[in-house]
Amino acid sequence: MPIDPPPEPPLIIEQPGKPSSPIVDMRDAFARKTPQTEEDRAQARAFIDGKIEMIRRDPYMTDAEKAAAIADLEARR
Amino acid sequence: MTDSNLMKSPTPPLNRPHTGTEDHQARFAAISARTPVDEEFRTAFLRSKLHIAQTHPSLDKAARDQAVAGLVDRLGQETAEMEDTQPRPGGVGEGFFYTPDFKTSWGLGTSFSCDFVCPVPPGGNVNTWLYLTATNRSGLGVEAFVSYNGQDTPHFRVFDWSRSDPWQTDIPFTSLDNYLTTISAHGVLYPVLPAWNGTWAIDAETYRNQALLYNNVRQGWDLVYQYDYAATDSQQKTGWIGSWAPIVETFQSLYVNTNAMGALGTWLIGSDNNGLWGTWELLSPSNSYVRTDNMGFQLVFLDSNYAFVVDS
Repeated sequence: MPIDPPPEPPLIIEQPGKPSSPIVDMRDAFARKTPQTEEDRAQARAFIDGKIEMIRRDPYMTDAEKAAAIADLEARR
Repeated sequence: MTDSNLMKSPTPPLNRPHTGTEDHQARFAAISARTPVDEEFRTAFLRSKLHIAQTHPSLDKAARDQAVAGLVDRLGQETAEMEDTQPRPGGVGEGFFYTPDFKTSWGLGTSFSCDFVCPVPPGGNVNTWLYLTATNRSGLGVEAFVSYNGQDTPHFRVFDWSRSDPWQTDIPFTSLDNYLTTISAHGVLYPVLPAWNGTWAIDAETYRNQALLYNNVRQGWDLVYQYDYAATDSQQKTGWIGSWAPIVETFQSLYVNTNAMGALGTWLIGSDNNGLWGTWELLSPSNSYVRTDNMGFQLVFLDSNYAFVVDS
């Protein structure tokens, strides 16, 4: 079932703020203009490796939970 | 104290039979003398003790310095000269994780917002990657986060877990003047980047990931990234990905003298199974927990569990 976008989050505005303006689409200004490079792929692997280490050090997960989570991430490397 | 008052050794533990004590000191000493000295192990042992003293999360800076000085006094000057600088990714300097129940307690959509407290530069000894990041609970959502690399200009980046080409938006802070601002928390003004990302079903088989930044000039959210993809409810709610709320993700063993960083105002909202969005709620101890690895960071403050700032 299609659903609407979520409402806007509350803002931490210290001065009395005017109501938030409508969302503006700035994707063109922010969009990546170049294809993924080998460096991107290496960074993605490093990014995921960091998450794997985060799992290994997690003081709350069981060994079985860690194994499953690591396997999931390794499949994405 | 006279000999008659000397304390005797205790009786042996009672949990196993004991037929008398024999003296094997000489034999063990001889074996030890023949065993090659493992300098790497000794160094690692001392370095580990130093690391614990330097990063103990419940000691303040003065107490850490005192602990290190005590170790040096006991173990020698060589201990003080050991640098704990080997890269060690995957730490959580400080941050929040969603409880398993909360991670999956949404229907067709989930969305997250916070203000990343992001100093420029990060300061201290940061010499590689350091992330201020978060997920919105979904397994295939985005991390729209602040990425440091040493003392270089930070970047705002989007890593999309639903894609095979996950690196998408990558914008240096020098191009984010309209989005970076300052906010006062606990009487201190902090530099922040307000960020919002969401994941929700747009039809029976398709989800949408979005990332937005708050434009402080026009006072409205700017959509900076969006991607639609095929996925199932199970893919979104199974697994570990999506479990971290705002965290300081570390890549070094020890952080020293870094500037204050963290997150303020962590809000979450979910929709029910009919697509009706609820209301934004601050993250709380009932649906999240704090994780602190020993990386040298210490709390400046923690508002349970929707805001924290750390330095080192």
